[in-house]
Amino acid sequence: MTAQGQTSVVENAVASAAKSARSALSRTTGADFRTRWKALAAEGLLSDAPRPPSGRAAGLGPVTTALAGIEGIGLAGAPAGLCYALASQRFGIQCPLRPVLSQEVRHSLGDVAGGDVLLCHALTEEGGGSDPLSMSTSAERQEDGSYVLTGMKAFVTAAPIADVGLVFARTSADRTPFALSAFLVDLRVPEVKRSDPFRKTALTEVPMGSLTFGGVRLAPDRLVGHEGSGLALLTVTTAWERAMLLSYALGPMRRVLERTVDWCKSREHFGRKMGSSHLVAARVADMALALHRSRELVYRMAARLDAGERPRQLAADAALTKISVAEDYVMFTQQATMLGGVRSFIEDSGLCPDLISPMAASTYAGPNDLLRVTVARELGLPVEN
Amino acid sequence: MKNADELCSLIQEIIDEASGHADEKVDPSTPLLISGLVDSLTIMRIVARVEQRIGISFPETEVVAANFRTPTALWDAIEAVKGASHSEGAV
Ligand SMILES: Cc1cc2nc3c(=O)[nH]c(=O)nc-3n(C[C@H](O)[C@H](O)[C@H](O)COP(=O)(O)OP(=O)(O)OC[C@H]3O[C@@H](n4cnc5c(N)ncnc54)[C@H](O)[C@@H]3O)c2cc1C
Repeated sequence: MTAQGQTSVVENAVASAAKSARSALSRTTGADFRTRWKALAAEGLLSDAPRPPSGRAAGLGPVTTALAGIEGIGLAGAPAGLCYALASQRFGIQCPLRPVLSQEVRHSLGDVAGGDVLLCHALTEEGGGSDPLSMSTSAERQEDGSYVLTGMKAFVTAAPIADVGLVFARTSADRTPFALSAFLVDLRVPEVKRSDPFRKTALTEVPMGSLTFGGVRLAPDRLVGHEGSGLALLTVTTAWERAMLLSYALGPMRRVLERTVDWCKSREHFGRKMGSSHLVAARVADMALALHRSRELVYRMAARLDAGERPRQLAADAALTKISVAEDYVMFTQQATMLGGVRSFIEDSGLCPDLISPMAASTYAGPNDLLRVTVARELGLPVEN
Repeated sequence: MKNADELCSLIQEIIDEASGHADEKVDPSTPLLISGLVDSLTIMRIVARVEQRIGISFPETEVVAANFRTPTALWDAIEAVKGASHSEGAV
């Protein structure tokens, strides 16, 4: 397919996802998170083996198709927190687990694709987010091969409502690269206690909370991979996240750019249209530049994953993508805020941007500065964390 | 890469890159984990580099201590992965 052909195929896929999402969203206006989640999932976004796109979206790989789906949902005006949660489950949990879990185990999770079963990714603890080897949650192996999980995870997206968690725990007391293992934990059992949703200020539409494991017994088949392979799995989940999670921002960015352009065309002062000021025009161009860079980078990651590149092999470029999109998203939102004037601070003005959520992207999926260290190390600097 | 000695040179190269100098010579029986020679980033780098050089996909689930105790143990694991991918047909 020519590059131009590919571009319009992607555009068609985004437009068609936006169309179905608009109808799913309007059918569920005012409904709770899970109802809207399920309505959006019905379009196939969370399906591990998506229907091969037919018609005008034919020829796209599964990752690009899912990416176009997320962008379309955002473009349709889905709340940012919902877009984020969908992208996080699809790309940060389902995609990395797919080659690792047997079909039986995947089946045992229930209807994830249809949106009935919600997953979460429980890694961070009160004591350490960026340093996973410091975690204290532990899974102790029993004589019969089962494990007993004890400890607490904090700041976990969807924890207050999720059904199954991908939980990282230590299976060895030492601080070695092989001290961690990952488990699939049913969160609906009495040994798992959930906190109330945290009063978070970013991505407010998806709840966040903590999970306390009070001796949860896990059958041997709940171990993901082999004991000790947790860090290797984490390398893959984080590579996926860094490559693809910020896809959630593309739809909202497009909407903000459109409305900012409309505003600059209609607003008049100094006896002329606001958009006829060169400085205003330049800021709008900078916003378009940030969106363009972000979109190209994320779609490039999707194309490479669709082409079969291993997530581990593109970890360094995924880190660069994540830093770039996260920082562009902040800059983009600042420009929009400036151009909206006072209306940027009036909730129902239609021009009030969310300044906090873009900033949060500098923290999750690896704080940007830690990723900078990884990038520099990859270039050969003798720098360590 | 054809044998454990060549794997040792690769590991040596990666450790040297990380620390900027070589204190210790890696041989097929060097205890990689106990000596603290390799940290987690270095392990993942070794895996990525091995995959590139040999053209195999080393499953995440095989990145476990037993396969990284020494270069010989890692070489055996690589051979096992190579064998498995041949018998399954290329994956
Ligand atoms: C919106 C949102 C959603 C999240 N969802 C989840 C989830 O679903 N599951 C989950 O497990 N976690 C989740 N997290 C938590 C997230 O993964 C952690 O916040 C992150 O790993 C950073 O950990 P920390 O907040 O403890 O920061 P810290 O480790 O305390 O670091 C704080 C800051 O210190 C600086 N810093 C620290 N160490 C270094 C260093 N070596 N070099 C340079 N700078 C450094 C960086 O600027 C860093 O941002 C989420 C966070 C947010 C904001």
